[in-house]
Amino acid sequence: MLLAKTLRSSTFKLALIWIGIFGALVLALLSYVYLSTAAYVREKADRAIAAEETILRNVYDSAGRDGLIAAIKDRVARRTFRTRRLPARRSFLRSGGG
Amino acid sequence: MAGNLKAWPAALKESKGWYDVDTREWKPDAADHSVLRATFDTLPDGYHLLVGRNADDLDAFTRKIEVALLLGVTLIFVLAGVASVSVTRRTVGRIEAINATSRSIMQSGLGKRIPLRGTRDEWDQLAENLNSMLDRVEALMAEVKQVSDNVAHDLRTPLTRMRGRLEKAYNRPHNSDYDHALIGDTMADLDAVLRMFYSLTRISQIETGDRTSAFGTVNLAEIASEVVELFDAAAEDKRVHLDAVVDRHVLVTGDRDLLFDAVANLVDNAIKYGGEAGRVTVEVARHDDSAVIAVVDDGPGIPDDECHHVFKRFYRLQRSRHTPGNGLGLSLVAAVARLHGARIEMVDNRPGLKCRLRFPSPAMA
Repeated sequence: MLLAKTLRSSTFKLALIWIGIFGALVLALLSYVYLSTAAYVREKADRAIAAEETILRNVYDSAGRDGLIAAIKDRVARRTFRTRRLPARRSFLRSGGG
Repeated sequence: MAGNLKAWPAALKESKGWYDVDTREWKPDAADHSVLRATFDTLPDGYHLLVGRNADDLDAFTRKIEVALLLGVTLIFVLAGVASVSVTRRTVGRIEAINATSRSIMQSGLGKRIPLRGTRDEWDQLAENLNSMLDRVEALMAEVKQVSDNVAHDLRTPLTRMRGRLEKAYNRPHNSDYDHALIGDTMADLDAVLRMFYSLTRISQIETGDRTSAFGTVNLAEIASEVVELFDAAAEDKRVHLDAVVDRHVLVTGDRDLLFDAVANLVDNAIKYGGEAGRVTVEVARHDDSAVIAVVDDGPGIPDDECHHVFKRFYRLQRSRHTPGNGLGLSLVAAVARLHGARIEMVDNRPGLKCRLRFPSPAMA
């Protein structure tokens, strides 16, 4: 009885409107926090990958294809040795023909 | 083909770029699949170089943030919902108490009051104010009821008397002398009834109508002298010594006619109830911050416990019920005093009574 009156009351409707406004603001803020955190994490990972690629390109430029393959094999061997599970980084080379 | 991928991902068709590759693309039979974040490029000699890393930890991290934020938002909404329901419920509960009280007042009369919670908050203040308003309304209703009861009661006596007289005249043979006396008595009774109605309407006019626009500067000394002059003959009849002791100029702001009536009523009462061969004095004096007019007698006075009742309409002291009067004189005085913002003081004069009207901040002479 009292609960039904409470839910019908103008005070409650006003409270709902404020919850709506406040909730929308909170959602917007947290979405921003989420998106920027995710973007930051991804960008950091991408930078690490790009750095690795730059190193390998340097190896290729200085030692050619065979040097690159050796470097890749060396890396793969070291990584697999160090971590049992999935290797953190994979680099590999494929012939242009496919 | 070199490195730790068993097959080139089929999705990579361009010559360079960034890509998210599902491990199932080259290992369809793998039990657990993960995502590879990779960049690939075409080397000058036609070979492709792909550098990537497992993005599972990234996804796990963002998913953790996602879950935390979602939980937080949900918690905020739930808390806000619960808080608004409980706060609103409390407010609605208090309003409902007021509603219930007003409904029961409409049904069963003015006896009910809104319950207080003793929290001294705005709701308690509202309830207190409404309750005191109800008290006031109840008192006014009681007063109206008492006045109408009294009117009925006071009318019955003269009307019964007149009817008896007329009945007697109707039943006996006409006799012009007797009829003359009878008509005279009846007219006197009717005059008393009319006087009562006149006083009643005048009091309520004073109490309700705004007459302050008709206010002017009035000399209380002048009023006192005129009243003494008016009642000189009446005082002589009762062998009462009536005089006035006045400062020359005591000015107040007010309605001259009403003030005259009020003082006249006080003097009339003093002569009527002050006793035979007594002494009645009208004193007018100016004090620093007030002007005072007082009517002093040396009669029996008024008992302390009845002092407050004498200003009610139709109230009459027990011992004066047999004397003529309608109990409206002091009500008129009280109404006039209220209109002028004056204070009425009843002081025991040992013996007798001193009735003072104290007017605030007199007009400058």
